[in-house]
Amino acid sequence: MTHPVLDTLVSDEFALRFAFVSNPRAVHRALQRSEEVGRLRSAISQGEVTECSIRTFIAELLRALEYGTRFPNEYALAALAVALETRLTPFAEEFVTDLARLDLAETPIAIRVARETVRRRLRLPINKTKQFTLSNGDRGAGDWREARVVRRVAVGQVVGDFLVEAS
Amino acid sequence: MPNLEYFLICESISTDQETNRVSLFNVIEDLQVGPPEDAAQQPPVVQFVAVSCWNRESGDEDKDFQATLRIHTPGEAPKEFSMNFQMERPRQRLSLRFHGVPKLSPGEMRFELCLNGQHVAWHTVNVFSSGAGE
Amino acid sequence: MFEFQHLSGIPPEGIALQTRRGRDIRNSLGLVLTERHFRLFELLRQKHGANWELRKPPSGEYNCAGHVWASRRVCIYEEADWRWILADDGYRQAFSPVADDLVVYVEREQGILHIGRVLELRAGLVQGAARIPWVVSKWSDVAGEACHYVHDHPFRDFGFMVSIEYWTDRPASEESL
Repeated sequence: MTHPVLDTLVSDEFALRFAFVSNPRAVHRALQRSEEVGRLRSAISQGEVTECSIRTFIAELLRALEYGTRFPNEYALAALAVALETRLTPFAEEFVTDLARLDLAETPIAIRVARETVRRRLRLPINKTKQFTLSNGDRGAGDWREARVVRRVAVGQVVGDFLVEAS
Repeated sequence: MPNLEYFLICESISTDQETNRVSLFNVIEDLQVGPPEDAAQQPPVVQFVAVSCWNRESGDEDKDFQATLRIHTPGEAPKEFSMNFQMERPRQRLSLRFHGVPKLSPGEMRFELCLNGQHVAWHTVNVFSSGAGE
Repeated sequence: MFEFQHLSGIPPEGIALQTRRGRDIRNSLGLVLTERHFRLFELLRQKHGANWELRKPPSGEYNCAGHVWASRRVCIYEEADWRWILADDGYRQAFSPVADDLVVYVEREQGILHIGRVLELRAGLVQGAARIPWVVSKWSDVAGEACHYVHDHPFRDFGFMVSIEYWTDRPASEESL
């Protein structure tokens, strides 16, 4: 079962507001300020909608893709690209860049919306971090050494595309 | 060469994965340490981060840069920590995170930021002894 | 993520299309539509098109720019190309439109949203009022063609702050004619 906020993306009421705009950049902006995309963004950031569930949702959407026929769900796909635009995770990166790279006549608007999101992602600042740890425990004349970064994860947390489960 | 937008030393930093907005917590201006004879003194902070944000200038594309943080602590030789980067985007944030703080003596702890070996900015932290002035 | 779709879809194909000054205009041939697209267009007409006259049911072959500049053969999606056509083909903004001028729906932030063609000027509702352009529009690449008064468009309800511009290839000296 998909989250209701994802379900709204495939509704006719949602598609109606974007399907009759010819300029993909305008579609991008309209999606960006739509309530539905706003709700999806907040559901993602609060963990109500996980990247795993988005992947499943996309797979479901793409079942309607038929060779030589205009894709009927492309506004949902475009909405996902916009919702993930500022999200700096490997999944979001993979989704928007892969969609932007497609060269398909079946889904011209979603691809162009994704290209706009990629352009915008390229304007986001990059964060680069290096860590150092004090080498001795007693804080005497110790020295900082570059640290091997070990990321702690919790059961239930989504890391990249994986859900951490207890063994 | 990229130009510096800001440089700060703070206790911790958080980058929102959703919006890529950065939040800096507890910018370090002063530190109070126990008297030197107190061998069991607790550190005033257990970690700190040197955060710098750089703007790309024309011609910076595809060039390699090195940011160096030089820490000058009273009575000790300066220590250097470097990070190489490229200005792939219009803005680049660099964070050097330090876990653990060595024993500090009262005086000025100065953080010097250099780009390709050239001085760019200072951040100074005043270290006070808790016994000072008593 | 889309490897399978990449293999199973059709790469877009276009036709040779250039501006008067020889600049290539990116374009692609549209595909056939699904039932859902027809349903959406029907919904659009119910909600916004009570006073429209349907000229043609939905088709996927062309969009609004392909309608006015490529004789209904292809879709032209890039706004930059629309601007090149307006510049290279000698269009200028007009203040008194006549039949066959273009009506361009513009939003300050988003740029051009839509382009239609003026068919005629119809009498206003009140005697002596200015005549109102009657326009033929292919709202998008999944829409049908409809004739409508120039202000009778759905963009306001979609959340766009639209202004209407008229563009013509007539010489400026003809403006008052």
